[in-house]
Amino acid sequence: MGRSKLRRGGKTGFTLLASEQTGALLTNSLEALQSAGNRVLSNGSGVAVGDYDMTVWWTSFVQFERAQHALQESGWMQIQGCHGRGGSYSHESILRGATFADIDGDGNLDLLVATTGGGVICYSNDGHADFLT
Amino acid sequence: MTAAAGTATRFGSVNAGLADVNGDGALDLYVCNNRTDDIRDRGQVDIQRVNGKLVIPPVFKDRLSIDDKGHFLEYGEPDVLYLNNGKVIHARFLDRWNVSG
Repeated sequence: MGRSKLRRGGKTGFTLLASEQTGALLTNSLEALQSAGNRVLSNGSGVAVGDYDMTVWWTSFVQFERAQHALQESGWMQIQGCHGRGGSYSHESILRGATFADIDGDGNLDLLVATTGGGVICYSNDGHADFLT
Repeated sequence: MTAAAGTATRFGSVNAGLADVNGDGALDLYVCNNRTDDIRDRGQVDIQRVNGKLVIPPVFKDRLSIDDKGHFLEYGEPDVLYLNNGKVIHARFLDRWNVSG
């Protein structure tokens, strides 16, 4: 996932970090009426973690069930100054899983977002942490 | 980019994973699909009984089945594996085959 620097001699495993440490103070909310109307939405949505702005720090794309929050108001991504453009897909679909990967081989992490009813949206990272559909 | 990649569908996609599944050095894409809705949210589905046997309407033949105990089963949409042909600026994926979800 990106050009991360791995520490030599590190220990295997994970360390739980508090939200206060990470800044990930997000809640993926789903209104009861939405859930009642389509229980598929209750399956939740995903998070992608990657160094998409090449700061060597992991940054994340956290998504909400509601598409309008997905790119421009999505917590960490907004905090890191990363904005989505040309997001016609993102405003029409309910967003689910997300994955960072360099799918065009330019060295930058691109973003793939699974949607309910729209398949997978591919956002290209232009190298300046702007994601274009 | 989505249009070039060919990954826009009508499916209810839930997640995507990438790996070089065919060993050509390019990342391929596996998309897990569920559905855009659940049949139970429709309120009512008419099932006919023919010669004493419950029969799924043709419109739901790829979505519903009934097991030996009379329980209804709902299937997801097919997952899709896209193989990356790497011939365009933005990676283009080919829908190689579908796997029953």
